[in-house]
Amino acid sequence: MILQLAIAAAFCVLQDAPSESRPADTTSSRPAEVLPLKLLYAGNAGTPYTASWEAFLKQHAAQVKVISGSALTAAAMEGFDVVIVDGEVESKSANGEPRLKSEKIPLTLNEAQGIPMLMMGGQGGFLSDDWKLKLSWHHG
Amino acid sequence: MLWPSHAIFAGPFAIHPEITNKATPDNFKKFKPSVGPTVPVFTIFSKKHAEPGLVTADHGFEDAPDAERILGGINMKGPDYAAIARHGSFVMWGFHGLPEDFTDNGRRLFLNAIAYAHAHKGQVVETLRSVSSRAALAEFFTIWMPFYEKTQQKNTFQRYWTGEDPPDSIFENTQEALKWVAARAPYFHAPSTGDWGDQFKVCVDAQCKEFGVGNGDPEFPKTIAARLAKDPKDELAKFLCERYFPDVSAAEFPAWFDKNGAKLIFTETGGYVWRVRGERAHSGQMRVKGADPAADLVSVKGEASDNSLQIEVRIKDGWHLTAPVAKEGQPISLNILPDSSFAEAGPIKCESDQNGQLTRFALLTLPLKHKSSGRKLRVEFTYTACDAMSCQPPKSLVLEWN
Repeated sequence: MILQLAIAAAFCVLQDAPSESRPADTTSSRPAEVLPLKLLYAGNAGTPYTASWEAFLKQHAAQVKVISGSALTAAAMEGFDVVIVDGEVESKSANGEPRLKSEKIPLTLNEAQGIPMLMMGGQGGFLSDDWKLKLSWHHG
Repeated sequence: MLWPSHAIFAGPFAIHPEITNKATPDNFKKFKPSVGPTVPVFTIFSKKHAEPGLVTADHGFEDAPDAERILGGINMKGPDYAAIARHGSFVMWGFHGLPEDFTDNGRRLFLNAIAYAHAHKGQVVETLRSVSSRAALAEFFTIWMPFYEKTQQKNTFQRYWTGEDPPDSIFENTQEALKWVAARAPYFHAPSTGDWGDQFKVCVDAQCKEFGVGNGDPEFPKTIAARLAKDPKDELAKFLCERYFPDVSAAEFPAWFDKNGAKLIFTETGGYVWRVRGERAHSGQMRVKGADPAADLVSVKGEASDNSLQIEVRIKDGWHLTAPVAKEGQPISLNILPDSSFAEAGPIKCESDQNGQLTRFALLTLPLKHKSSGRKLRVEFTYTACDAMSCQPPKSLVLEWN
């Protein structure tokens, strides 16, 4: 029941949906969509996945800094408007068995209360579990 | 669950999703038989990423007004599970993919989610999700039970239930099970035993049942206040006050209720307690000082409550620690520092192997008692990590809660 991990396939399965399923328009004709915010992205440092998100966020926010999740502390958040917690959590053991890995974010709920944060995917779920948030993976 | 009227669709970047109807997944029908033959959807990512996303359960989500579900998704659970939701100033984005695969509306929704988090700056988490809601217990019978072998159903239910032995008949007849749950639900209570295995469990509160008013009923705090105002020595009212109102003593309750009665909220998932709207949740999570995640052979997490300290210890493969009861080696120790408002109420509990060694994962539990008011706890955890050949120098970490 509660402790089972919830894995969502999300909306992206709809390959045959009408115009919505086309990739986003990445040409310069797209209206500027820039948030006047300073973002701190805490993810898996040095991975292609993080590089994609860093490039995207830099297009769409006033300022972006990327750190590893394990470096996310109260001090690291100072001066930023929104903190984004993300990362790929699936990995494989040496013998090929699927595993879940966490960035082991040291920040506590009491230190983060009231700070705007975006909890993305499984890594956001891990942190929500640690903090016993309603956004938790344990309750998925 | 799709609410295009929600503010997150309005801006700062307007979204006009082209909604289509998709055949309802079979698992949705199991979770919610009343769901229709189709569900409305629109696309966030144009490609499916290898790693799936995340949804969280609906039961108990909105039992206090610090949280809201915003958007669901096609997922392996139910139609009311949330992929986008907010708790305090934290916004969940459960979808997983690469930004270059966003649709135009997906991209705008993502940016709006960031802005939505920013718009809730300063809003605190008031209630946690640490135990099963009343609805979750009923859902065991309506949704989850068929997933388990007959022989495992009762044992599985008892992961979430303690106290009274549930009759075998409720595992044979769903309607009887729902009646059994409904008769007890108003008196569900989360016993804080301090044992790891009990952390999600609920039971019937015999004292609340004797009181005759369900603990989540708006009449409950009113009745407690009236009884304590009439007789400050009313033992049952004092007992229930201590159990269900963690922020006030029985002696102060009538005046406190006069001041806060209109602002009270009851949370099931937050421990079956009443809280004052706007106050921060009591998080038991402890800060760990002195750890070096890149170099340490051991990682720890600490969780404290008024009656126990629990430390999860993860030990790298090939290494071990020594249990406190071991006759040889350098055992682990927990030392409550003098400036704490707690003292030990018993020895450390943990399970070790036959050689007194802790490997891979260990859970340490230390019973606590208050020695003064407040909730300040500082504990020094000292361990010596050894492999088959040698031991590392002892290492100490400090875990703090306040």
